Amino acid sequence: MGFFDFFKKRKEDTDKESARESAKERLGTLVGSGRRLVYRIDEFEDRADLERKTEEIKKKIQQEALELFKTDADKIKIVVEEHNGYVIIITNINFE
Amino acid sequence: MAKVYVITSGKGGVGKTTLTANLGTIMASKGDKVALIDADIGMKNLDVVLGLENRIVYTSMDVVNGKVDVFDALVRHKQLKNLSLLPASQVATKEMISPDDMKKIVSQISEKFDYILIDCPAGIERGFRNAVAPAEEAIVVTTPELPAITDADRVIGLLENMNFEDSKIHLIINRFKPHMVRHGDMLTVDDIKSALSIDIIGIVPDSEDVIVATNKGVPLALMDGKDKMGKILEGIVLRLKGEEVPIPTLEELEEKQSWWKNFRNLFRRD
Repeated sequence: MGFFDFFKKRKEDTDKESARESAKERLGTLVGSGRRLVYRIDEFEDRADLERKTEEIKKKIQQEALELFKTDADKIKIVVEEHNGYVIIITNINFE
Repeated sequence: MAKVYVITSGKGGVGKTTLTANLGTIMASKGDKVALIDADIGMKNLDVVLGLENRIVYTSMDVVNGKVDVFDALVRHKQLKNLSLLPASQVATKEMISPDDMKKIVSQISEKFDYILIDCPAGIERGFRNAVAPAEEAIVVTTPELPAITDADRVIGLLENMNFEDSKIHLIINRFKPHMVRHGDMLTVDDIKSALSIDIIGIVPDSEDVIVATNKGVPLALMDGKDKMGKILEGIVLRLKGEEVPIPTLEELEEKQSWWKNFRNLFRRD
């Protein structure tokens, strides 16, 4: 039994030796073709128009929140951000 | 004016917080005035690694809400008086702070410190953007596994997109296991370097001492008898400061085991 175990162990070692090669090959496929490009919205939008529309959206959200929660305007914080080509609108309402 | 670094990774659990605490500790122990900012709002841990969790009175959320001044929220380290922490709230969410809020906080404390290290949360959403916004340079942390490396690649791409030059992005390979590389079971440093095309500023070997240090609430760099790890971390700090310190070789990183430990390992059942 011990004799065969010796060869079994050797086989396991041979399999192990390919772990790095396998990881290297997969890594090449995953990241090898250069960094993934991310387009920003301000790269292909009219910046002034974008800012005007952003302010318009913020005002509309603030108006809705004011009516809905009957709170003060300074307790509503709206931030419009661009995340990897997507527009994210974050609204914080402080009820304190 | 302080030099501002963000410690980021993309993937969680690669050791960002531990490295932030230890690099900050090394800098402070050499006489620099250091502020650590926990940007992982809602999942904060930097205070725990530093052993300062019982000293927190105010958080960055209180500063943003105008409740207190940023200097009132800073917590000084017990042993190193020139090391301070700006804690994060555990009950708030990352959406409650904006990148502009973070820039404002950093600009307020910048003149009083030599270095500011921002511990970035995992992910690439709001928390990441908050942490990166005030930083001049980025330290990307990865472990030698594919998911961590691919996430690091994604983060480097985002940093480049946010106008970080390649020379301002540094890579740390954490939890490196030299014996696995020697046996061909793990990617080598060169494999990772060529995949990410970014300069490596440090390689930190895997160590059980990190768990012991975290449990004790004492940064590894302050524990007695951890000279080897201390030197590795010190090397990273010196390289960040622009000094030419060679990165340890595979042999130098490998922990030499005592004959007794080797003998005992012969009888281990795992």
